[in-house]
Amino acid sequence: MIEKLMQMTRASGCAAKINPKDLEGFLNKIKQFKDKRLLAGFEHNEDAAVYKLDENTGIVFTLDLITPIVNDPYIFGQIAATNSLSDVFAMGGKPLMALNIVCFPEEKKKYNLLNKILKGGADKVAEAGGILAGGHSVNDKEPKYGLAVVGLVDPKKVIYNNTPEAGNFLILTKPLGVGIISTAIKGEIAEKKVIDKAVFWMTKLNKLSKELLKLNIHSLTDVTGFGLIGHLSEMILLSGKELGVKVSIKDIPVIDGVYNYINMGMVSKGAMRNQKIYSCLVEKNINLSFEKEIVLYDPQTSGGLLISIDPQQVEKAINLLHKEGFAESKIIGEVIKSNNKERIKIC
Amino acid sequence: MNQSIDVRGLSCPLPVVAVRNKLLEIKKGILEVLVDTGTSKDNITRMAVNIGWRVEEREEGEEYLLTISK
Repeated sequence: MIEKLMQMTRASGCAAKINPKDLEGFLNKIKQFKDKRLLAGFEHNEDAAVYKLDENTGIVFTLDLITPIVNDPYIFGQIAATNSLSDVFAMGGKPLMALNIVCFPEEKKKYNLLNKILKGGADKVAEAGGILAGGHSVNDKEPKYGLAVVGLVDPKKVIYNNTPEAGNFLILTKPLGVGIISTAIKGEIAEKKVIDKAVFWMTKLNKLSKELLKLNIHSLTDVTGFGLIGHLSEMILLSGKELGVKVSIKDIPVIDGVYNYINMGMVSKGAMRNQKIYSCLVEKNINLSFEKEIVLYDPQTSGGLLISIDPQQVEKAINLLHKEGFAESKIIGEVIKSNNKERIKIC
Repeated sequence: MNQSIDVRGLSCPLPVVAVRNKLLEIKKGILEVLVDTGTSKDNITRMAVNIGWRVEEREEGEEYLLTISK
């Protein structure tokens, strides 16, 4: 019998990240390259690096690699590619060219799985308007797949992850919970309709239309391994301003069925770790059940965009997002002035 | 006689799945569970309480012994 993709791996998707606190320790020891053409680099935990070639042209450069999050290899390839491409979109750029990065065991009877993974990735690169131009492989027991992606952006229109303004509204474009659903898939208790929903969102490109990008978006990032709270905290803490956020728990979209899996014990180590790291920034103004709270820390793979936008344009943005297939996009809160330690208020 | 299950060394979520299957099989009585991560311990406790079992926890060095009963 062919082994299931998820049984070949320990941690799944973006929950397999190295502890962000540990990572910070390593990165601080690396020389910080300064160059006025480098518009986004190490400093702000940006989604991708941006290098200015001339007044009108910037290169967006990113790399992402994940372990299997579903058992279907073609779908896993699509998810991994969507997740990698997302970092280009999150900078306001468009993908140009991608390279495969693949780790896979050198076992001929499993090559059929690898073929399908690569096919899924190539199809998503094409859908994103990019071209696949090569790649690199490593013989490895645990499969991993992702892309290095180069994109283009107008240097004047780069949207950073740490430039929100007080008074901005916050939009989340995809529902939360895919990390928990992936754990439930690995535990073989996930129902088909819930898996289908998670797959739908994880394979939806975070590509925003020109019309949307013309709106006054102050800050943009994608919600991935550090969960919603982790990425919200990056947005405000790295702004260098006295900012906080107020989020409304009832407006945060969550995939149906997720709370049930949390009660069945399907919380990943990544979610618990995110909670441990980021909960000190959170002030809870309401009674939150465990399941409603932990989902805010759930590591997302190919998660939605977090958009900080001028309040006067928020309605237009939501209408456009709904039209572009982000049907569960919601205004989840607003950016406020705050110098409290607990800068993320949950109401 | 109490039943027991050792889920040390299993990767998430296999510990909670193994304990859940065992609880559904024995239906009532006492099950002792040896577990080696905080996340698995919390997940097993939450799952067991949600399906109507009581859980007592004892820390043994870096491991935990859970006594689950109904």
